[in-house]
Amino acid sequence: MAARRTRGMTGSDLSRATVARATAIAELLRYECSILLELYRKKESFTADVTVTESRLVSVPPPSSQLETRDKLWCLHSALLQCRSFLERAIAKEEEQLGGGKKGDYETQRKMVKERLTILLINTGELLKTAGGVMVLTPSSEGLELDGPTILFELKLWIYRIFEEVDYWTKTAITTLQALPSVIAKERARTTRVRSMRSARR
Amino acid sequence: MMIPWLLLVSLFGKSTQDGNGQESGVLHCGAQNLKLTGSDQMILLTWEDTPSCSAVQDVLIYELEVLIADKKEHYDEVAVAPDQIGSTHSWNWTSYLALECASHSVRLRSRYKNHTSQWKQETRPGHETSKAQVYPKDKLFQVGSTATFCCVLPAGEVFGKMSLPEYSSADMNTTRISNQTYALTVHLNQASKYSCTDVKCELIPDVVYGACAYIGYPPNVMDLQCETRDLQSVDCYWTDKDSSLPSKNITEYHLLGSPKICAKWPETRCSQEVRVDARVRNWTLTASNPLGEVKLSDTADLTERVHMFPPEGVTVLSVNARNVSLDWKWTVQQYYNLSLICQVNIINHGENTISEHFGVGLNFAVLNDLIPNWTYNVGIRCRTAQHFWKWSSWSTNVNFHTKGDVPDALDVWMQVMDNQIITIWKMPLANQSHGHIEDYEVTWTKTTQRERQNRTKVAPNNYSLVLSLDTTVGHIVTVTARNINGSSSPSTITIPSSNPDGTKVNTSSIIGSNGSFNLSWSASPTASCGYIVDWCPTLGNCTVEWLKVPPNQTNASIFSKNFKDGLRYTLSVYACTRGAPVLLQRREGYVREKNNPEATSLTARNLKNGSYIFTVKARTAVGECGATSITATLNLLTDNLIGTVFIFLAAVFGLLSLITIVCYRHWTCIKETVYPPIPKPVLTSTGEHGCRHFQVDQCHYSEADITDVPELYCRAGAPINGFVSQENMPFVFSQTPKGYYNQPLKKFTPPPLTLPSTAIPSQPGLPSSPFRREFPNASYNLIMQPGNQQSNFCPELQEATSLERSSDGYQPHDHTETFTTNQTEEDPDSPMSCVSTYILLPQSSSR
Repeated sequence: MAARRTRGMTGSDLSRATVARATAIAELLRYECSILLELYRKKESFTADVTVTESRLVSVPPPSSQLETRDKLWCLHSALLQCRSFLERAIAKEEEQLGGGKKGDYETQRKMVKERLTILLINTGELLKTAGGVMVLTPSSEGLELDGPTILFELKLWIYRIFEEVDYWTKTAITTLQALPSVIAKERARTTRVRSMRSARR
Repeated sequence: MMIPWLLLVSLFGKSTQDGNGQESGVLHCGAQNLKLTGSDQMILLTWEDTPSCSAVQDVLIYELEVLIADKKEHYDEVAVAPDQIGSTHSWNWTSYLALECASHSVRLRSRYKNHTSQWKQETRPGHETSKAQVYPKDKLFQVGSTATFCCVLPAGEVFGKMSLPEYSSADMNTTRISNQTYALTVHLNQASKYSCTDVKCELIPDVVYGACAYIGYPPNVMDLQCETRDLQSVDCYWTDKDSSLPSKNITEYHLLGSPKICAKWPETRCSQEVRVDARVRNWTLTASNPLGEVKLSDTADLTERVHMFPPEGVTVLSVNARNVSLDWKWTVQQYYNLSLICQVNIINHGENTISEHFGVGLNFAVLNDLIPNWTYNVGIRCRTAQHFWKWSSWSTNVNFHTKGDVPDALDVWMQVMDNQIITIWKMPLANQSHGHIEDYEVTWTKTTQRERQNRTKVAPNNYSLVLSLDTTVGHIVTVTARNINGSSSPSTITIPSSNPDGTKVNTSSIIGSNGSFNLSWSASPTASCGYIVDWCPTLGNCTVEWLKVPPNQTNASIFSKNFKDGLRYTLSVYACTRGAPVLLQRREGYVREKNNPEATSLTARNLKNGSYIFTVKARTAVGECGATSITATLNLLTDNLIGTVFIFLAAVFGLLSLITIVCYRHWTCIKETVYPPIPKPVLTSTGEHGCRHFQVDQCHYSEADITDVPELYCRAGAPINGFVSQENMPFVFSQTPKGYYNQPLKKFTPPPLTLPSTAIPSQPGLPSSPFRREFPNASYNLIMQPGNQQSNFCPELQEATSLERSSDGYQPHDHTETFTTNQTEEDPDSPMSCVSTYILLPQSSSR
């Protein structure tokens, strides 16, 4: 948070088209994430309720209605960036430790999710830029626990946690992005009202 | 005296002391400095002998007991030879459990002769953790082995179950090792599908812990074959199945005992530089993975196993009309010293032809007998001429197009029709024309005047020439085709003279099969250049088709795309001679009959009534004949009427049967509903009980009285036989053994309706009733009770006006006033017994 810009912003600058595109990408990613989780559960014979209830991997304050649009976007973008770092690491570790060289539906879906997440990041980055935020990952990638466990079963659970984390933040992204247009509208209305009041005073 | 005794006692005491000293030393001999270590599932115990063991002069036995979680699990003995006493001893044992699962203790004592030392024990505790753990972790197992996994729970956790996915419970057995440790023993009969197989320990409530196990196969190398390609190295090939192990434990292959990894699975070939010389050697491959190692050898002289690389840089050097020369290079210089066989695969419009070429270091080939003006595609492969091992793969294919040439000689035939001679030839195919045909040239002359030739040119799209010549003399016709390269060789045919006295042949029939004619004929000595079979439809104009047959063949299968079913063809067999063709045989027949000539019956459908004449004629290729007629009359109406009547009768019968069955089955109900039982009438006299008989038919009427329809009063009761009237005839008519009675039903009471009253003279002794005709022998049994009989019976009926609606128009009496009965001989006061009851209340029409 310390690194982000504190300059005032208005959501009115946000392009509705960009928001709509980002929302659509997030929805697609959510669908692809659900398939990835299903394939992984099937591959590893995990039941849907397999609990990996440890603390969240991604460390970002959860989006709050109290936050301004720019801060919400910053949180979201930062979380998605961390998700991608984890996902990339998970893929590498899985290939290294568990990979058998076979390329099936799961591997294809995993790649698809990673690429879709990258596209979503580009879009949220654009939105954040428009909103006046700075695209800085907090904590930095050095601060993330990207190594993962060395025990194979725990590694599998760790990978599953990462997939769930991506799924969670994708859903959060949808919620956040869907809330943006109304924020934009309100802020736009407020801006218009202020302007008209000022012109009236003149 | 004392001194010897003292000496003796001291000697005895010393000897005893010595003996006891050795004995007690042995008894104190045992183990010291015990050290228990281990890893995975193996424990290692080391110990030393105590110093007192040095006195032992025989084999010393150490007894060992292993306790897992304080339960005795294994017993063993270690024999220590006298010369080993004093050294450090070691003993190891592999537990069925991972050492982390439970504490492993080893107890040790020495045994010498009958003396045993005290037990000494060392313990290696199990792993204690704050969260549940499954052991062993990430271990490799061979498919087919049995493994035991354990789940160690921290205090307070509740064990649920242990399992391996895709394993049935029949393959697994869970046991409890201690309070917080459970073991799962499983027969590992399935290789890991994805990376490793999970071993899960589920707690209650749902929390899963686990470990991963690699279940795979040791190497399984087969079919090793070694050869050389470049005569400087050995190339080996083999097969192996997937070990299902992770990439870090994948099977590695070494050739000829070299420490260098030659290949890793899934590669199943590798090469190593060797000196290739003419001697038989063993070529050994070693395959290894953590689950095992396999060695396989192939014995061979590599000079006899040369698998050549394909020719490179194949070039077409010179291209002619009917031959080309090719050359190529060898990438391996040694090939130029080998005696080689090369095959050239010539692909000609999808057809393959292979030509073989031989030579030392062969690097060229000449291809002959090619078609002019033709495109070819060729590829080359080679092998050593001696010790055939394998062909090289095919070289890259090259294309070339041969130069053009004059057309091939034409296939010419003739057809003589009246005074016309038709010379006909087949259109040269692409592989016969050798270039674009510009025109055809036809020359002809009489056989008798050969020096005088006539000549004409025919356009390239025409393939026949009609000449009006004198057919009574023979002619010689010659046809050539011309393209840019020149004219083809002339094709000559001699047209025989049409001599009416010439030899004729009989025409016999032939039956086609499978769309063609199978024709055979007797060999003819005159057929010096073979036979010609021609065919044409028997009737009408035609363009003759023909087939030339070599002299040694006397049969042919005639097929033409122009053949039509149901069309008669004439086939002629000619002998090809140096002069004119000689007709040998003539056949006629159909390739396939269009209609079925065997049919002897036909059915005409959808005809209307009327008279028909059916005529049957035989139709042949030349016309119709043999007409036969029959006349038939069709009258469907009568048949339909009869059918309808039968159906109607059947329907009525069926309906009646149904009603009968229904009535029979529900008779009691019907009876209860329609005709309730009628109690016997009780007529009581004053002061007496009983019934008096009244004969209705003895009622006193005046015949002259004109009465309307009498109104019947009855007592409610079940009818013996009854039925419900139609809606506008609200009566119950019940036939009783002694008569009938009419009973108006209240529920069918219709709205008041006054019908015109029709006077009917009453019959003596009978009630004047419109139903009399239906029941001519009816009698009425009158039931009455003295005093108030009307109201006691059916008071409501008296009010009924149903009789007013008598269908016959009778007007019922409005009111019953009096009636007269003739008393029987019985005492009028005595009770009467009445079987059935009704009351007739005649009314005066005057009212």
